[in-house]
Amino acid sequence: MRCATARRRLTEVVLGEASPRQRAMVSRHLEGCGACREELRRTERLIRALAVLPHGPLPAGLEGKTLGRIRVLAADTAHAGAWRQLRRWAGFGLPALAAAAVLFVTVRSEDAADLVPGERVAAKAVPTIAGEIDEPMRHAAPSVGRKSAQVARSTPKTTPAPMPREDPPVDVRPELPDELLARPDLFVDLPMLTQMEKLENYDAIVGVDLPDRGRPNG
Amino acid sequence: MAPRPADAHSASAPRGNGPEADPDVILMLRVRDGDETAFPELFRRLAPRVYHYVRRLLGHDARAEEVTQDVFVQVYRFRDRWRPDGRLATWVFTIATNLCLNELRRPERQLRVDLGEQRGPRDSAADESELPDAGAPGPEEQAAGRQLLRALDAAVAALPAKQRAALLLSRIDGLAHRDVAAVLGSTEGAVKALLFRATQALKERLKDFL
Repeated sequence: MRCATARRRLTEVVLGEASPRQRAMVSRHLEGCGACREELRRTERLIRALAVLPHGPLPAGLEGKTLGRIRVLAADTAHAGAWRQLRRWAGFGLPALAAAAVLFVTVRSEDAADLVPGERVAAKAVPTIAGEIDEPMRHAAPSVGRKSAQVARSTPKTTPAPMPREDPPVDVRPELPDELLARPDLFVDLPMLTQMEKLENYDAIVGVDLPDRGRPNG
Repeated sequence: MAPRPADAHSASAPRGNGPEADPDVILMLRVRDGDETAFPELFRRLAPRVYHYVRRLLGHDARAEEVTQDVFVQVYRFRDRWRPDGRLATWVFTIATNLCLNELRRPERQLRVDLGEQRGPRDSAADESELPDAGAPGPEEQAAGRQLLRALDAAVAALPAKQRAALLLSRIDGLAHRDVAAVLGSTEGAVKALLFRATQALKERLKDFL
């Protein structure tokens, strides 16, 4: 083994990282080379010196400053998260709440005597639509749904008439269970909420003063 | 044969084979789970190594304090991105190395690399430390050992940044070659080459002391 090759392996030999074969070859070379033995001694001394360098305490106050920054970061993160949640709720929750409030007011504007327990009152829960659809449907029989809403818009403004008890009520949602139909104050028809935005002749909407979130009709 | 530097840091050496046996990994998992007592404990375990590594890599005591704080702020901020698939020290030293190399690349910062000018009362580590073979009785040998350590500090500071980083991580912090390669974004072969060149440069600069 040449001196240059042996000296390249000296650090690994000192640290015990050399393979047994490499260690044996370096040892054989060192037996016959005084210069490399001197180099080995210097390498050992250097490695030992490096190993004792890191001693020393931390600067005073470093721990306090660092943990203080961490606490501020944690507080800012928590605050930002809460604010994001609030903005999300304000973006989606308030319009839905306003629409639900409008529906509630609409239902309560009906005469309480007209509500008979057990009677199908889903159509009564949105009386204007049912009442206004009912008349044109008798004459023109339009389909239920968007077309009905358009028909409802085209009819003149009328006070919704109470449903005749002898006639079966117009049931636009026959699949609803009776117990829900009996409690319109608990039932919020979501499709109807979206349709309410398109109704322009709704006295209840016009008459109610809601917090500043704009009219449903925009 | 001199003990390996890694033995000096057995407190954070894994007891088993997997990273889950690393006590630092266990602490970091508690930090991720929101345990408020875990991060201060993790700081106390790692900060001395990180600070001295940063100090020697930057060659500037005051800036080293700030960068050490930045390292642990980054560790906390990105705790959810850390994956327990290796030693935590490797990840922390990667952050420290990147922050230091960014700092060293700034042209407006003329960092004094001569650590001899930075020494204050607390920088007496080299004064207090003795080489293991300084069981030599004479005070002259002890003084010579202290001179060697001071000269070594300055010689390390004069190395090119990557050689210095590889040397500090491997010889002082006891990281394995593969971990040093991960920290530096390099290969094991390249790390061995860096270490060889660094060692040769130190031996040349310290030939009067060794």
